[in-house]
Amino acid sequence: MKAKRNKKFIITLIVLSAILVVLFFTSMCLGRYPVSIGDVFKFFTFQTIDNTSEKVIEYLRLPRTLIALLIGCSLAVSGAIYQSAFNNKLVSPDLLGVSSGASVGACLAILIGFSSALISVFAFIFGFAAVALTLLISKTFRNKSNIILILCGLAVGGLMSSLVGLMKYLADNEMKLAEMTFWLLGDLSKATIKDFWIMLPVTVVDCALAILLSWRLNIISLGAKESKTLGVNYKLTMALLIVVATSLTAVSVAIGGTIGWIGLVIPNIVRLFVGSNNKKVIPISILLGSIMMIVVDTIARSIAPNEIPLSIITGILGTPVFIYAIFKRRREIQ
Amino acid sequence: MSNIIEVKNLSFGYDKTKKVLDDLSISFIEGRIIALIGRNGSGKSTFLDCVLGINEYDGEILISEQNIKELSSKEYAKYVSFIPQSVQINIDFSIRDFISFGRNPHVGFGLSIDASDYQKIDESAEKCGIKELLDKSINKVSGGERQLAFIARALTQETPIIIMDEPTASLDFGNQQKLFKIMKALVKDGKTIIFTTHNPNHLVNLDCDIYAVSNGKLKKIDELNSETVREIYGDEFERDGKSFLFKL
Repeated sequence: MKAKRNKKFIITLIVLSAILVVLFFTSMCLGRYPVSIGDVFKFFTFQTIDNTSEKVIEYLRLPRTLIALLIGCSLAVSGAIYQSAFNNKLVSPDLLGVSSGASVGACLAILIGFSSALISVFAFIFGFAAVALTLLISKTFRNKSNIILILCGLAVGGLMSSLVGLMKYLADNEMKLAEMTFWLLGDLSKATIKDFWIMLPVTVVDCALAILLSWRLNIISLGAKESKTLGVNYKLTMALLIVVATSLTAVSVAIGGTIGWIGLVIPNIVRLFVGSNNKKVIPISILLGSIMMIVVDTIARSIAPNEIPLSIITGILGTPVFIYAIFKRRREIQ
Repeated sequence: MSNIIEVKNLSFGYDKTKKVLDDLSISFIEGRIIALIGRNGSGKSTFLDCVLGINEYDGEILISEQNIKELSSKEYAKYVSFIPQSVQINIDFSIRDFISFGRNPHVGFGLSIDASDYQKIDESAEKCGIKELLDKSINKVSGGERQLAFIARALTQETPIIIMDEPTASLDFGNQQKLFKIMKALVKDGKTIIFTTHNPNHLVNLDCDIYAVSNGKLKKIDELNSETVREIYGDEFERDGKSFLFKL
């Protein structure tokens, strides 16, 4: 029986990996400047192709597709962790305020007129700061309930949204306002391979930690009392999980702006197929999140003459999928 | 038989002005069923939360002569397994996965459970009569079956002590009987079971050590009779043979 179940899981992993590889190379071909699959193949096997195609792949499509892949898996894993740790399938990675905090940082950097690298740094730092603020406020209540933490996250998120509004109001020219708006909706058009190399170690280390902790995450989802009596150090494990999930979201938001829905929707779809055991949910979320973001990014840069912000597409694709997921579970939701 | 749990000068209160448990000292003998009875709010669950190391109490609690404050979560979980009162779960683990969490104290960091662990899961499920349900979601079985899954999880944890908070609360008459039968069998295997209950009738035919919780203390009750039950619950009942009936 067990062998059969594991076989199904392994087949799912292989099929999704294959889809990811196919989509990755397909996305190299698609866009305003079409590149043939033959040229893509030649590029990756270091053969010479025409100069424009080479430049399009090397400087435009390859970096942003790689980054889309990392963002997709980061947000999906972050969402899976938050949903499981707080035992609530309907929360997103922004639960404790990381995305809204990062938005404040990015908008502030844009307002001051910093470079795109500094915008990312600001976003990352402010994302973490917002979560730290949430944790700090919740600690003063001396109530260990997760509900308190979630409510504090809502409060901090609300404050951060107001601050973003303030920055937009203060933005003195239309250029800055447009840059903020575009950033707030998710944007990979300025992504470079350098961003990929910055993001890669964070994502790899965090995803590896998430896989290592996935068994404990299952137990954490049962609450503090049961975790303790099943031999899990609840406080320490929860803190570690929050750091992993927060850094995954913070780095994604820092590089690609705020991209909604992926963190909420992907883990829910995964659970529909493999159940709630995080030993399966985390690895499959990594693959499905990457697949989803590559599709979204390819649509964003190829469907219209101008770049479409990523959150618009994730919203349009994510909403029906999410409603379907809720529909499937309608009897369990009370 | 030696003492498996020793409580020395235990005090605890949710706020500074009122102590729920007040300078309580008691010891429990190994290999027995230990029943804690008392009124709502008397401190039964609070006492359990202290023994579980959840409440930050004053005093000492020793399990197998070890101070539980000095044990790591993992070490503690090798001595005590716990079955909570409310057995509602929001996340739909399969019963097999759910029972497998009981192996956690015995596996290393990040490691998964192996074939011998899965065999233990199967054996525990068989003992509790839920082997056919292993692949079902824990959300989609009855309250009684879910309770049995919790017991199976406690068995796979292989602890000498099992603590149950109001285990009969959500069970029908038949399942209550089943639960007590399993408890008796476990004690025969050398386990010590501590459980709380509201109903003195549950203890009439059970060979157990009974403790009444009231006024911040635990008092051993040598014999459950009209007088001792009246002391705990007040005057409003009558006796019919061995059972205690409501007086309406």
